[in-house]
Amino acid sequence: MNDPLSLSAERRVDEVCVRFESAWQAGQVVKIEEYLGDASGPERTALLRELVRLEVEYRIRRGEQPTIEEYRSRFPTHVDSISCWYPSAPTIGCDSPAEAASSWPDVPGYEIVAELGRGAMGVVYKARHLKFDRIVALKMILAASHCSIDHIQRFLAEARAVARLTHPNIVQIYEIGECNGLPYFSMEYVPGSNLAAWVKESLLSDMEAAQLIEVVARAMHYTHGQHIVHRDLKPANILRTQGGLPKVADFGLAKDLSDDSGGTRTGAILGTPSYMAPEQATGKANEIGPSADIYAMGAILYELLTGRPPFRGAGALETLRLVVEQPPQPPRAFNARVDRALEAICLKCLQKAPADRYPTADALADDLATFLHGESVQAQSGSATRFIAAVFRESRYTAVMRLWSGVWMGLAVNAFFICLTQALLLWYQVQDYTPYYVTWLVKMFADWGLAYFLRIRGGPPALPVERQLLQIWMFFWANHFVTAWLYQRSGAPVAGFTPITEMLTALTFAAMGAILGGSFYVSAALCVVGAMLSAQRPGAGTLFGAVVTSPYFFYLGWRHRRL
Amino acid sequence: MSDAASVTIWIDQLRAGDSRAAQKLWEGYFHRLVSLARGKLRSMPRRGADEEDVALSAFDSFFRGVEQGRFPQLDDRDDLWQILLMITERKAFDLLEHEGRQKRDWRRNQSTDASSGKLVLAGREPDPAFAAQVAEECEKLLTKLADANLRLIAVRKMEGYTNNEIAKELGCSLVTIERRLRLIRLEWEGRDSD
Repeated sequence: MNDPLSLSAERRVDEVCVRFESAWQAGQVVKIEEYLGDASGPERTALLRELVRLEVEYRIRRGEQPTIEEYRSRFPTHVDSISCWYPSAPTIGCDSPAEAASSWPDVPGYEIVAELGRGAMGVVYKARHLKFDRIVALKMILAASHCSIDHIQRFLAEARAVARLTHPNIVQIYEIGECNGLPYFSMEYVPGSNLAAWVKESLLSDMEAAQLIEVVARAMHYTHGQHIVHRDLKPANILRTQGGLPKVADFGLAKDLSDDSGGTRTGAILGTPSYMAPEQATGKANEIGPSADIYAMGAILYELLTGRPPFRGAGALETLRLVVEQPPQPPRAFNARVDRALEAICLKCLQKAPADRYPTADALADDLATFLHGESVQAQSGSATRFIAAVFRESRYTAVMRLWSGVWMGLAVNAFFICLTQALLLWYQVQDYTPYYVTWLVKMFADWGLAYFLRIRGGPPALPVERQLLQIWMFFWANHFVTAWLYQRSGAPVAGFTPITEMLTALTFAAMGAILGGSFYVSAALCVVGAMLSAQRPGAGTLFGAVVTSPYFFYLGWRHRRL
Repeated sequence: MSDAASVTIWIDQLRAGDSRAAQKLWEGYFHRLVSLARGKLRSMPRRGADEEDVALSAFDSFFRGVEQGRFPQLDDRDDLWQILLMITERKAFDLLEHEGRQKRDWRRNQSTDASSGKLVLAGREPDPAFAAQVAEECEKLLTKLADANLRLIAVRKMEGYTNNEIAKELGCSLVTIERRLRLIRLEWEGRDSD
């Protein structure tokens, strides 16, 4: 897309173009080079673009046949842009068929019959492949539109990705070629309409919708097996043959998972907001996988059942925010006739966390098939366990967890040695409190040192959640020392204090669990077990801490490091 | 879609979504709005300048188009009606806000949405006062275009002609029509960073 010029720059460009065009209209033959003047930067590019488009048009009117190569050599600084400016296809819909036909590009080997549609990326023609005498759809980059190298690369990426696929429910690609410097590809022509047009007519019945999405899901499973993610599934991209069979088209944003050349545009948000998975809406390019397509199929199913996509805000940004933050309204809120089981399948696809959706497109298809057979679907099973799982699910602080994972692994190592030392002290029935204080102090300084070197050294923690963690930790140590001192003053034996240490640690882990998610509750539970063991036999719980709780905590850190 | 949507939000929403029903709603609203604005324009005192007649011609001719079911498409980025409505609404809102700063009681004004402070449309019925503002703003914007050719392009576009038809009438290139429409948008929106 071109950067918009300022009003005064656009006025200057317009003024020069008007003079340039008047000269041509007066029958003079003028050259672009004489009109560029001293314009510079984006203004020069914009002026050049307009002048090239005008000159080409007027030369063609005079019966000349200007070539793209000529312009490339005349303006070597804009070699890449010239092909985009070159008017081989009209930018505006044409009125009469005759007029339209005259502006269609001349693609060798094909005879263009009609224009089928235009999108942001390109234009699709209905054409006849002359050699095989068959009707094909011919997709070309929209010339003279706002195109760039990125544009062309994306176009070719689509062609290459789809070319590898052969499936009855995926639009087949036949040939990739180039014409006038613009790439094109020919693909299977599907007479009929698309789902977007169809759903506008009427809502689908549960059965129809489930059958349709099952077929699409099987096709997408095949696609995912070829390491391709569609990333822009939506009703308009699902064509319907006259027989009613769906065919997935428009892999414009398809991401080739096997190509790790860095061709994906990290951070750029691509797709259609209403059907976009949350991980896609937040621009986390590296997290977008087959699950994003499963989400999109859920969104399409939702629309087939309710007539509206799951999220639609005022404007694209608002929609994106809803996609990321809000749970969808259950389809039955809009259409009470939707079956509960089908609703559950739909909502399972629309889960925010990819791990909560169906693991594969095939699993979705299988569950839809189960629904169609009238059996109980997987999405509905165990709703009580699912509720509990939802309460204790990992928080969305995965990024923070990853930052702190190194610290946790270190803390686990410290805990292992300290627990072992204390277990030994208790084993030998050391009654003096002093060595215990020493181990606690060593542990505290080792822990804080670790946190300092790994996390805090670069400045105070920026995220509120990090500050919360640090505070919880400070309270733990303060509490621990005060409690130990009070306990010592009461004259109780030191062995009796270890269960209390374990319980304080359990409380700390529970607090972390409340913030960060369920896995810390496991640590807390393990500490409680340790406290019980310590009450049975001095040192037993501490040993348990060394051999079970510390390794588990180490595992937690290790797991988050890999996320 | 809530009932209390501003025109701008509404247009954005319709552009983002793809519901034909929404386009129908917009058409119903738009039809009544144009007819109200046209009535307003007719009743305005003629000041002799031909800009008014130009605007009236745009409304008249466009209204005939609308009668025949020809509506501006929301996905047409070049559509000047949408720009006109957005600009009018923004001004109306600025005015409300300005008055509000003086009177401090604008929240009680029934045509504002207290929670967002946005000018809202009462249901789907166009507000006659808003229609009058649209008519006035249209004249103002056309007067803003210094070049007669630019003005003619704007009027033809508003009358519902395609870019190709306009190019043919003016005997110039389609490239020129597209460029000048871009310039008209900029002139109207008054964006200038220089």
